[in-house]
Amino acid sequence: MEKTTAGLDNFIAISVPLTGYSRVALLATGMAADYYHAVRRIIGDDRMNDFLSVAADILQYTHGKAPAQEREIRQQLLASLLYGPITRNIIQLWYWGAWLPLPDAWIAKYGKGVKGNENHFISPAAYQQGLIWQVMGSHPEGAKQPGFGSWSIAPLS
Amino acid sequence: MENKEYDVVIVGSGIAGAIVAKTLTQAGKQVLLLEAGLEAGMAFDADGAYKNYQEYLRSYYLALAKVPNAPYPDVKDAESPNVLDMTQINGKPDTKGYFVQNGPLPFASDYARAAGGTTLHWLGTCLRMLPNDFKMHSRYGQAVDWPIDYEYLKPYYEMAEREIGVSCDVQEQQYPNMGGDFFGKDYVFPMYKIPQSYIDKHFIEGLNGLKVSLNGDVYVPWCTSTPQGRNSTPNEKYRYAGTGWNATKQKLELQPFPKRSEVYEPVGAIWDPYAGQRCEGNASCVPICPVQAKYNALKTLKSAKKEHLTLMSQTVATEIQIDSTTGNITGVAYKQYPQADSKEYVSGVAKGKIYVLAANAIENAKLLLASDACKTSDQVGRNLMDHMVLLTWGLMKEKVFPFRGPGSTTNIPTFRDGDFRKQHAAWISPIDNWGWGWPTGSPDTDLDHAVSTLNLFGNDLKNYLGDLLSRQLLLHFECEQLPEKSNRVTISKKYLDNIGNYRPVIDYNVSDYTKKAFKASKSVSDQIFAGMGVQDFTSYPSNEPDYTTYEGQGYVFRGAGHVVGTHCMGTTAKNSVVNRDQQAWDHKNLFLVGAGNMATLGTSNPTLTLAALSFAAAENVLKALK
Repeated sequence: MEKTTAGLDNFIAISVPLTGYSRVALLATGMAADYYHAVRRIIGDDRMNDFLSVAADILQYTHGKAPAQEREIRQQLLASLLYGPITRNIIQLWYWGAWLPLPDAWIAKYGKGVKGNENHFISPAAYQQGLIWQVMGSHPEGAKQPGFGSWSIAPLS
Repeated sequence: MENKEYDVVIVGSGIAGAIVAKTLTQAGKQVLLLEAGLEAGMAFDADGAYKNYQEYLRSYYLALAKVPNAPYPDVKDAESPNVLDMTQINGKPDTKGYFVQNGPLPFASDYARAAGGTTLHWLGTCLRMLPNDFKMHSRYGQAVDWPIDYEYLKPYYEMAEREIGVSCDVQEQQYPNMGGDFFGKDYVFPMYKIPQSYIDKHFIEGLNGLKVSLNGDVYVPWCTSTPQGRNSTPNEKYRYAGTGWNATKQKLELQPFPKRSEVYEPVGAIWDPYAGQRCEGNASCVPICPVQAKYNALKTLKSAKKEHLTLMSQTVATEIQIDSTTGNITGVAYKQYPQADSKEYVSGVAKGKIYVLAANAIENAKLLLASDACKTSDQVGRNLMDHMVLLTWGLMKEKVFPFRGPGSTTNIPTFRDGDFRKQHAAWISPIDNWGWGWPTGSPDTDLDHAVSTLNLFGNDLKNYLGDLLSRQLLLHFECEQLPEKSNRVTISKKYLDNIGNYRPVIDYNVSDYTKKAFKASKSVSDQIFAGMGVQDFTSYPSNEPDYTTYEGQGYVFRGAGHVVGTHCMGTTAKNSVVNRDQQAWDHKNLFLVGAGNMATLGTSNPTLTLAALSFAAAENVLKALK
């Protein structure tokens, strides 16, 4: 249980620089645990633990300082053949709520034991909690409706 | 069931069938309504209707491609076409989906075979046709004239606007060649207009004063708010309680509120009259309005007189039976499947004095062809039409915040009519409120591009998306397609569905008359974008299903979901399937309703016109039952 919580904390911590949203904003979606478990379920415990451990190291030795942290995220995660596709999927999960299939080349090299890699929304709630809607000053189409006539003025935020 | 003879048997519970069923039952007639789709939503218990609708919503949230039919069950025993099945046709028929597409180009629209029909996922635009739309041959030397004109339809348009509950500010409606009395003196709509979007306001301001050249003529395009079948603020000047049958005068009429103090009340969701009394801005009208502030035909069905209405769902009409001596219809043979996707079914025959086919233009044609009915003219299945939608898209200079509000709240009506129709198709240009969603799949495709190709993350990603998605502009150029004999629905024993019914086989193409309008409208779009400083991102890739070329230039058109033609009305039994009363020339007790009757398409979304025609048809049925 403790390990799970630590993993979830790491997952949220690395999601902050990946998404550009604060820890509170990410928690407020209510989706953190669901996404964390979904990624773990799909790529497997070992890959997930490795990913989180690299992520924790990056956060630790850059102390959250922007230029260094960005460089490390790029070099160690995004540029990595192993972690790049996972990282990009986690970003898109937060923004859109859906898992994208990991590329064939990734599956061929690292994909042993991967389950449920098809394109799918994690849940109806995941669709509704996508960060993409707030980034554009809108709301998920078909949910969280802003009310009669709201579309005729600029968003209040 | 088989022994009972009803006054009228109706096939299909979409808007056409529902209007006829409501009108006839309220006039005291006994009606049997056959619906091919599931019971869903027809059940008049509020809990059942609500739960069922929540399931639709759940399917919508989980659907990766939120296409028009995404929320609704696709039952193998009564399949619906799906736009996702559409691909380029290379030599041999594409049989992947429900349609068998012979091409050369795929028919690009779908419909829903479900209780309530395609109004479940329609956008709700409620424009009337223009006077000249009914006289294409005499005015412009193109296609045919209708056997009826705008003046004939006008009172029925008012009934349709009452039934659907149209929101519109009448004084803002300015169309080319509309004449001096298009709406009639003092006419108002049941509700005030749906507020125009923030995008609209910027667009209207940007367009102001811009002169556009087209075929050597100069136009000053203007914008108008779009009439819509979704709930807004009631207009206290509106005075009609509903449409009723006046047995003495033998006609339908709009009946005023009994008391002066009464005002129009928006019709809410079928599970709760207080839900959906205003459009709440869900921005998902197509494919589903979560609160049913948008009209759907289940609302009309719910207000039919229940004691006089018998519903049979999961009942697919397979053949109309014809008395070979009189030509009269003697029954509708059907297959009723006990559960979805089952290969089992029970056969039966529904009997009435009069029969009304209201199953959508393609399904009506299929049923007539399967029955060897209406053969004299050889026009059944022919003249299949749709608006061919050319899209153009770009980025506005400033943030206009799309992906909010109903799909479209404003249109440019300038090119809906004019002498240019001698040369090329007319079009209407709705301004889209949902960004580049239709042509490019925004917003998630933009997200994927930003993350996977532009290698953005964090704040850079956030800023990039915030800017890009907030500035997206999309214009439609919905071009008229003329009735052509070779665009047609046929059937073949080679292509049957799960329970042995015919699948529609479709031959379809675009003529130069419409292609010229692609060229002309693209030029208008270019001028508008340049005049407003819109950064153009339009592209027409040659691998799109409906890619076509004209004068060396490639275009991609899309279907508008406007399935029209296939049993057009006309002046003689030789040139048409139904007469001006919407009665089959060959079978006196058979009425066809729906957009299949429309002789030409014009530039308005066809639902309002087919609803008006359905009231006219209901009146004719009532007269025939006398």
